[in-house]
Amino acid sequence: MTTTADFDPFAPDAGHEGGAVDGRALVSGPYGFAALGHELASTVLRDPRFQNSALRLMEEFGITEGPVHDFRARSIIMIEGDPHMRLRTPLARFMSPVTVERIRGVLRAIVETITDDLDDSKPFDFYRQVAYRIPSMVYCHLAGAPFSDAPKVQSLSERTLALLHRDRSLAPSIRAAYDELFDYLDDLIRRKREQGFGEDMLSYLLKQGDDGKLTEQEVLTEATSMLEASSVNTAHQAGLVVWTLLRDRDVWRRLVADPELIPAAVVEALRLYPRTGLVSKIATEDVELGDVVIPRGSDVHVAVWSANRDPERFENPGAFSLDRECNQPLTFSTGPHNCLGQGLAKAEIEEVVRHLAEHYPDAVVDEDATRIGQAGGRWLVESLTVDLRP
Amino acid sequence: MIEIKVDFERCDANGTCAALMPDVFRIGEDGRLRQLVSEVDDGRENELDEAILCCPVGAISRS
Repeated sequence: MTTTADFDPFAPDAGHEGGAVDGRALVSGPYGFAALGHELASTVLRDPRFQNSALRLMEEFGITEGPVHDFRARSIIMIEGDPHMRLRTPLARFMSPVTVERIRGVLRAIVETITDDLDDSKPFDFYRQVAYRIPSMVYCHLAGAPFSDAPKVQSLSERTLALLHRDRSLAPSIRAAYDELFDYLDDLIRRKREQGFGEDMLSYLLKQGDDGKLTEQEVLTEATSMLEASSVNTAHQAGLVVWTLLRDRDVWRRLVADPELIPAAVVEALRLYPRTGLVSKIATEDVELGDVVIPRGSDVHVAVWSANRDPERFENPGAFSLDRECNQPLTFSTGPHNCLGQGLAKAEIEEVVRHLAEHYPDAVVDEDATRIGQAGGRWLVESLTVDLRP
Repeated sequence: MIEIKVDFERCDANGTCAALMPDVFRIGEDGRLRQLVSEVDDGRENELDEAILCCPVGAISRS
């Protein structure tokens, strides 16, 4: 039984009932405060007085000035109000559920291109060989970059966002990755200007800049945000969803029999195993939360992994259910800083699951050769060995 | 006139629509979305379609 004293927001726990520890939805410890209840977590995520802690984390890692620090300070996750919305809307239009339905054929083709290369006669690491490769190819499509850039994009996303592992020894590699990312974008933008603009997102941003609707700095901030967020989280989340669905054989048989259930199954797996299991914020002023005053400067960690299993919000929260009404986990956050790419990420994962259900109804996870881990409050896939034709 | 519908069960009041069409959508003091009008002139079709296109949770639709 977890007590408040030994509760650790950085360690997602699939056995934790969720929503509270010792009956408390807001707890504190050496880490600062942690919000566990679904309602409280939503309140903190939506409140602009709580600012994302990514900038401070970077400063703690010794990145206190220069282009990487400046980018983070003015990035979409750090700012509020009108300047924030100016950055959100140009990106939103390329990843929303409406847009995604128009490019579902492209997503399917990407999944097929990757799975065509597989040797499905023996077990293999589905994470490394499939899930890991998809999001960066989708990014290339969106940004109007050649598919041959995908491995570079994947690597840049993985190395920049490694900040969130909270491992200080990674600081030099993070800084180097951002420098490399800025160089890559400079080169991609140069190529795009030479070749002429297309219908892609990067062309759109550059046109917004040329038309004076965004400043040059805003265009670069947008492009950097998109690239860093492009791949690593979706790759892990796709692996976590496949892992969850293949291990629950009753659920898997239902999906094979009725692929219409796949979107609901993906959301339910996202609820139980959120890649973004923790969103860390800082109080920019004293804030009252219920009967507690959070002092200015405090760390407030929103434990999405716990809120998603809050019995006050989700009946029988530890169970996988395809029948939840209004199933809205906080995996993509909520409110003004919700994940802009959520529609796209869900569709990518749905297409991976659909492909498996259609072509490999008997697929199973090899548990002994699979490792699901965590870092900085986030679930991750170390390896996911799947036998497609057992 | 074009009729506008918001699926409030899906809406998480992220405010993207309110930034694009502030006379149609507004985030209230309580952080919830208010739909200020139920329809707009045909001349604003493109503007409305952009708001629909940009909603990250796909909660807006039209006639």
